[in-house]
Amino acid sequence: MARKETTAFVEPAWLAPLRKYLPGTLLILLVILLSVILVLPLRTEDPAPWTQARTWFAVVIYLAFMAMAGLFTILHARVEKARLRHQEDTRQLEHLNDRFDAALNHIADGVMAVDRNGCVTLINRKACELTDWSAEEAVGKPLKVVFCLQSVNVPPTTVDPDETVPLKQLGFGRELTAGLVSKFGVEFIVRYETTAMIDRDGWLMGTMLTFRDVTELQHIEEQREALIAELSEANRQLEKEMQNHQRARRAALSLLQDAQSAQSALREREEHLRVLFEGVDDTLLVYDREGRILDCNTAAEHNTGLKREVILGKTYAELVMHDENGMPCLQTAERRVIPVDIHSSSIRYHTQEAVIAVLRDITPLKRVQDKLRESNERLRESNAALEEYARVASHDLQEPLRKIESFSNILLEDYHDALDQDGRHYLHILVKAAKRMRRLIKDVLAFSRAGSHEKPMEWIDLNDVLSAVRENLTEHIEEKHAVLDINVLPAVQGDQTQLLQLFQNLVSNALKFNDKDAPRILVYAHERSDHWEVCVRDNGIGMKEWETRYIFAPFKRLHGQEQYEGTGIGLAVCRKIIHRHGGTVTVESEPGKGSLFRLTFPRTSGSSPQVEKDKEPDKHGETV
Amino acid sequence: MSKVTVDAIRILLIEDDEEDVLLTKRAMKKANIWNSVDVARNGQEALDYLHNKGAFEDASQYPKPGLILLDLSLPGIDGREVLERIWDKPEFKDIPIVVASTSDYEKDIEFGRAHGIQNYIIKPVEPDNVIEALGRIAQIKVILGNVLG
Repeated sequence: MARKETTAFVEPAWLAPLRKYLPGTLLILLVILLSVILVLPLRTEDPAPWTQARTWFAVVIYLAFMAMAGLFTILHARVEKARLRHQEDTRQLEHLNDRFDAALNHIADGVMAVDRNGCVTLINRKACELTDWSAEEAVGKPLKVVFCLQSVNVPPTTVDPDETVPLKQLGFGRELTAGLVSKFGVEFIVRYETTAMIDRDGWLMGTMLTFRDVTELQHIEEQREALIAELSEANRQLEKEMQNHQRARRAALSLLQDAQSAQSALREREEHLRVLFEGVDDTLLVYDREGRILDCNTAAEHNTGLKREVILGKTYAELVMHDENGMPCLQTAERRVIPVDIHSSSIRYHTQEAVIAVLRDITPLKRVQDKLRESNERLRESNAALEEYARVASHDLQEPLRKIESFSNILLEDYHDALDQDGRHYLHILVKAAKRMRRLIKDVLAFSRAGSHEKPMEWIDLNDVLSAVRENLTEHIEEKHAVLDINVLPAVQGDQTQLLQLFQNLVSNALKFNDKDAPRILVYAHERSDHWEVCVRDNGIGMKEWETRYIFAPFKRLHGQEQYEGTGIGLAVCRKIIHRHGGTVTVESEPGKGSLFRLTFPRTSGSSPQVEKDKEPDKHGETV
Repeated sequence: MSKVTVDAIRILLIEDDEEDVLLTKRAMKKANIWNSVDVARNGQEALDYLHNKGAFEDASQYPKPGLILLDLSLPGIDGREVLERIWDKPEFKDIPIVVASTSDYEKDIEFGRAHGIQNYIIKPVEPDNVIEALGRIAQIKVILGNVLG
């Protein structure tokens, strides 16, 4: 809106009270003058009535005029005051208006006011600029002419005058964006907002339209959005790539870690191997297919007395020879040979096929082996000597005795009548002595053989052994009317022949040293935590406590030959046998009540006892 | 008891000890075994006898024996070797062999068993053990049957 510039007239300050009271004052002065003119001609000596009347009349008129003049003055002052206020108000308004116009024209948004008929009533400079309409042209024109939008989003600028619905409820106040075409066809994008102007009662007075050019902004916005889209796309790509990268990185990292750990493990192993390689006392040689030494350890240097460089220049065949027995040995610097034990394995040595040979110095082993062989030899010799002795004892020593016995018997049988009583008696003594001598020799042999490791240990069922004992002694048992009770017995690791001899000795002793009418022998077993206890008990003559200490000594006898026959070797043999079986034998006895022989057998764990029941019981057990 | 001689079954006694020969012969007589007994004094003689060699060339005079009574300990080629040499030969397969030895070693008895002997007598040879050992052999039983019959 354009306004004509008006210069306000400013009254001097002194004029205001003058203007206010001058007319009233002048009127009062006029009245006074009039009164004087009227009253002055009158005289007091002329008391004509009419004159009097006229005087009174003049007074009244005078008073009336006075009142009127006063009233006028007051009224005038009042009017003047109102006029001044109005003048002030107008001035204020104009000032305000100016300021409003200035403001309106200076704001960056286009502003248009539209009346209820949709005609432009006000347009600011910015709006003019944007629409290419001048204010003069625009005012009074319909809004849609001035504000020509391309978009269908035409703001609700016109309203039916009869519309009774308060416009507050309409969709004003929203900011919209649309393309605008100026009067000269310039297109740009505006963001506009319409505000309804509502009177106090809520009726629409018109519309205020504000708009601004956002082409640039839009452009920027679009660019921004495009940029954002681009950016977000890029971002997405980046993220994707980041993810890929991270995944790859992770994979790479893990690979790297794996590789690193593998490498470190490898290095560690290599170090270990090297330490091991260098640390062992055995000579280690690594050689290729042609036998060239590729590597060796410190022990190789030490054992051969050669420097590593020298060893590495040699071949395997130059270092390792064979002695006259074909046994491998290591050649040393002093032309000495060390007998060795060789273990070879193929390996890969720095990408080539190679062989690692472990050469163990077996000199100490050889020494021990030689010693062992020597002592074995000695043992074999002494065994052979013993065997020879046994054979000689068994055959050659017994032979003459047997002959003495045989021919004495022939004498007794065939020349019975040629001898007298004494001669026959002496011959009997001769036979008896020879028999006893043979018996002693046999027992010495038996004792020396007992406890020898003639046969390997095997599982023996003691029930079978005792059955054999019973069978072997049947005659003797029946003869003495004895009862032999055998309880269930275990199987033990042992030598069948020796065990038979052991139990046969004990049972026959129990029979022999028994003066009861019905000798009773009981064989039973107890299972202990780590051994078996097998007991042979009898009701025989028994022994004194001190006597029990001697009975296991060889050839120790408690009774005379006339009383109880024997050589006194039986229990010694028993003890030797039980010791060979890893057990013990003890005796508890009381004279007249009997004896209890306690044998222990270790309970060997391991394979289950496979008792060979079909084995024929050996009948070559010895009795005391 | 009537005296029975069965010439077809001749006993070869391989024994170096003169006294033992005497004792064995006496024991056999006591046991009423009257078969003719030829004696070889050592292993070599025994092998010569069996193969009709040397002094024993005359097969009619020294026919294949019906039984061998063998001592294990002999000078030179001993009884064990004799046993080893003859036990699996087809021509001697049908000759029963009985060992008579002083040794009561399990080892020696095992050795005999392993070489197909019929019986093992632990010396001295006496009527009891000789009848027990020889009586178990079929041919001898026949003799005994004849004798007893």
